[in-house]
Amino acid sequence: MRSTASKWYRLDNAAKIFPEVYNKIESHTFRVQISLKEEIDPLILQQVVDAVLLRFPMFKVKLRKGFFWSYLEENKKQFSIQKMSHEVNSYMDFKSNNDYLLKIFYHHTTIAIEAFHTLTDGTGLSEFMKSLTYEYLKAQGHLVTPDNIILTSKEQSRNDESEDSSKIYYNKKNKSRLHEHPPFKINGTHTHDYKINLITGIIPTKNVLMLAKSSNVTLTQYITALVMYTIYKTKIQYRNHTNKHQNPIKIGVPVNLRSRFPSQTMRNFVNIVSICADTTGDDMSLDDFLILVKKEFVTKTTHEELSRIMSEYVSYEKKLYIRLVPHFIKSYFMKIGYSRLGSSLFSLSLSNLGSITFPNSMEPYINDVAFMVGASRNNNLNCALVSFDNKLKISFTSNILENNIQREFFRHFTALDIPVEIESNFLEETL
Amino acid sequence: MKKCDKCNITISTIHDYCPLCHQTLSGSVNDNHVELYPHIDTLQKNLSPKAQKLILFFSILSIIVLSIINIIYPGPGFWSLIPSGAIVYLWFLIKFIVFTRTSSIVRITLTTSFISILLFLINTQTDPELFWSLDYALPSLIIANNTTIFMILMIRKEGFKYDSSNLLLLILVSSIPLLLFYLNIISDLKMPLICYSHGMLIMLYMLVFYPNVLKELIKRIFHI
Repeated sequence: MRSTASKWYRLDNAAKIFPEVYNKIESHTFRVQISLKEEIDPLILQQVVDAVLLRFPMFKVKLRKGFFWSYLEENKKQFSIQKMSHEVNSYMDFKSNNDYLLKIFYHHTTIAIEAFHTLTDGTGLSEFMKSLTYEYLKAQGHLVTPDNIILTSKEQSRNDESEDSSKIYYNKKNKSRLHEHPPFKINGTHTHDYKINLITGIIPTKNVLMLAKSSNVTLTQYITALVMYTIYKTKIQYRNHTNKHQNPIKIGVPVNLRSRFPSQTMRNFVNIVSICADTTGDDMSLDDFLILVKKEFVTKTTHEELSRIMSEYVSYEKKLYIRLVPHFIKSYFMKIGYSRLGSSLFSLSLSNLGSITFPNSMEPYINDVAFMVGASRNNNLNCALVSFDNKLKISFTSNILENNIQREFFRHFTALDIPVEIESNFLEETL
Repeated sequence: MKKCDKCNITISTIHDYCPLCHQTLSGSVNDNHVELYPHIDTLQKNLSPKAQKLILFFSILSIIVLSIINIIYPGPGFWSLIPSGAIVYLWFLIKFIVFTRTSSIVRITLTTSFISILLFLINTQTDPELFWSLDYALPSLIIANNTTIFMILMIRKEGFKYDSSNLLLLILVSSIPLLLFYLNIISDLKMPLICYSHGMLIMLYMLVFYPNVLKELIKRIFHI
């Protein structure tokens, strides 16, 4: 008879909002997907997942409601991998998933991991994916080594992996709130049940880097500017009756704070900065957007500004009168707060997971890596990118049927003779 | 590999059209090609929406018919409330107990709640003078419910470690009959007192055998 309680975790600052606002329209899930060069053995994958989840105890949890706040509690139930279907980042019914906030799919040579945002962010999930891939390849008898890049299941998890870093690094004195004007909205015909329509383009990373370099911007800045330009071209430029008084295009770009603060947390630790472009001027070119975006990135990703955004959100949670309000009342206010300060502040969100690195011994077994975010009531279209081995995978996920933005975006590259390979879940087939 | 001549992209798929412009693709894929995102219908474990609507329709229809018969052939009290309550009870039973993925502890508690409400309804229609449903049935049901859940946690490996938050909530529920007594809704003190003592006994058991679990439980539920 053991008399110790099961392990539990407080929700981190960003994680608190998602359990209150998730539903069938806004799943608040995201996916990291890896394709190997060999067929996935589901039996071995299941064994490996069981072992890796023990290494990542903060992922082996279920969501519980406390009197004041929700929290995560150790989940003793069996985690089961599932066959992958065409559905991407769909609503996660925790009960049917044995209360887990994580789903792992397999199909042919692909392993896909979907997580509810309360659990972790893109960086945290990619670390989990790397560990899972390493352990899987090892279980398959391949000679792979972790090379201090992979968290192996032999290691013990560290306490700082589950810390809420925003509470550690926020600055009490720098928490002012800036008023944000409403953004331009991308509207369209919604898909059945708000299912996600996925279009991924695979482009050689080197070619895009060269384009960015020639414009004197980073890859993220180039893609952000191009997305803005495509929105402008397809939705604003030729609508003469409205184009002079449109709300600005605003792109929410999550910035990984681990690179700015000494944190090794696996929980959420990102700030979303709003990259804004006013489009009421005369005909704008891609170069105009590149200049605007570069300037926005410089001013909005300074240490002070990132600290201010982080502190602004932490300050809400720190207020004693908010903390003492029972959860069921707080939940309604959080919903209202989210509708004002959440995804409604952006036209679209663009997440760059960056370049994924594996140990040299693992690379020959890996084909590519993909990253996808969901869509929401306010952001009908979102974009996520990740690169591995000269393959930049740009995934557009939307809950609307119109795809002229995606089409013009990828045609920009093909017009420059840069090869683009497309992958899609062909959602139209199921409508 | 297939190609869209309009978008100038390549794509490896069994589908015949470009996902960007919906134009016909040229070229072909290998015979051993496997679609990256296969179209699989997810298993429908729940009662289908059509079946749900059908049951709901017949439930409402039955209640209306029973009410009309009751008006035409009035009897002692509004007797149709009893079969109508039973229909609603059946509806809740199907929806929240049978076709649900919630834990057995939650199902047992919900069943107890539904039975309590149904018994109260029968009580008010058959014997409105004597509140036997509150005096005896409600405390007995709470005792039975808490005992069952306590036994489940005892039998289950590490049951107290993982599921005792539900039990803690139920112990609080065991004080409801006593509260109803002090509000003069229940006339007899015996059963409410037994029910409350039973709850406290379980609490005492947890306090002696699982002090850390109890302490952690209170800490996590009430953390600010």
